[in-house]
Amino acid sequence: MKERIFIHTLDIDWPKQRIAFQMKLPPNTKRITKVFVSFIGRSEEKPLWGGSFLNYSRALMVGEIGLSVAGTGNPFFRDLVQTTDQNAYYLDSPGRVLPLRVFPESGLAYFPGPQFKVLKPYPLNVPVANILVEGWFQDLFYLVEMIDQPVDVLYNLKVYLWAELDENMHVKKTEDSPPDCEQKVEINSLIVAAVQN
Amino acid sequence: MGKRVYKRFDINVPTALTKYTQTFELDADIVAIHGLMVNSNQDDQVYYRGLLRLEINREEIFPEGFQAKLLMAGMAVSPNDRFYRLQKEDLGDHRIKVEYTDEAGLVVFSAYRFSIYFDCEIKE
Repeated sequence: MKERIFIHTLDIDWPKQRIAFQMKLPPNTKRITKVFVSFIGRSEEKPLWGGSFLNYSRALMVGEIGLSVAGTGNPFFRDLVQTTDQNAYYLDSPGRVLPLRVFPESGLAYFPGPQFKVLKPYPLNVPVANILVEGWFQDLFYLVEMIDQPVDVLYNLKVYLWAELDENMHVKKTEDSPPDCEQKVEINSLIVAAVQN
Repeated sequence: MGKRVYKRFDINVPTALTKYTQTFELDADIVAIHGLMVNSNQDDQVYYRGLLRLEINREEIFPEGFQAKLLMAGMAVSPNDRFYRLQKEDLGDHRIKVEYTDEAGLVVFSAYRFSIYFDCEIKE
C-alpha cells in the first residue's frame, strides 16, 4: 500500500460565503487515512502595518467544513476552522488593506507565533467505495460583525487528504483523470507500440 | 539503531513569484530519513509565501501546492518536536528533489533563504 496526499484549495472572498466542492481521488484508492485543513490570509497588495489590533483570549473561528464520500450521505469529517496562524486582516475602505493581527492571550507574539507546530493531520479510517469526495465550507467570520463596518474577507483554505492506494491495481490514463491522480503506464499499450515499431 | 545526523539543504529565493527546483544528494551511508523540517532566515516569507513539492528516490512525499508552513515550527516548540515524522527507509539513489514556489502572500517579498533539514540515520 502506498500513501499519497491530495490537495484542494478554496478561495474565500466575502463574509458568509458558502462553497461546495469535490475532490476526485484515483480509482485505486482504498481508504482515506488522514485529513488536515489549513487557513491562510491572502493579499495581492502590500499590507500597511499599524492597523487595528485586537487581543483575543481564544482562537478565532472562521468557518465550518464538512467532507463526505459521494453517495454515502454521512460526513466522515466535520470541523470548525480556526485561524491557526493567528493572523487575519480586513479592508476598511476600497483599495486600502489594513492588517488585523490577532494575537493569543499572552499579548505580543513573535511573528508568526512561537508556538506554532509542524503538521499533525487528523487520523481517519474511511474506506472509499466512490472516488469522489464531496465537501462544503461555510464562512462564519464573526469578526466581521464585531467590527461593524463594511469589510471584505480574503483567505484561502487548503484541504489535505491522505489516501492509501492499491499499488497492484493498474490505472488507465484517461482525459478525465485528475492531474494529481496516480498514473501507471499500461504494459499492454507499450507492447503494442513496440510491435508496431 | 544507527547514528543520527542532520542534513541541511538550502534554496536561495532572490525573486518573487518564481519556482525553484533543485536536486540534492544524500551521503551514501545514510540508510533512513526519520523526519524533516523547514526553516528560513526570514520565517514569515516562507510561512506566508512558500509552497513545496518533495520527492525522495522519485517517490512523491509532498505534492505540488503543499504549504511549506505546515513543516515549520516556532521557537517555543521543543527541538525534539520540530520535525515532521517521516519513516523513509527505501532511499534508492539517495536523491532528494525539492521544488519550492514563492507565491503572493500576506507579507511583502524580500529575498530570503529556504532551508530544509532532514533527520537521517547512518550506518554504524
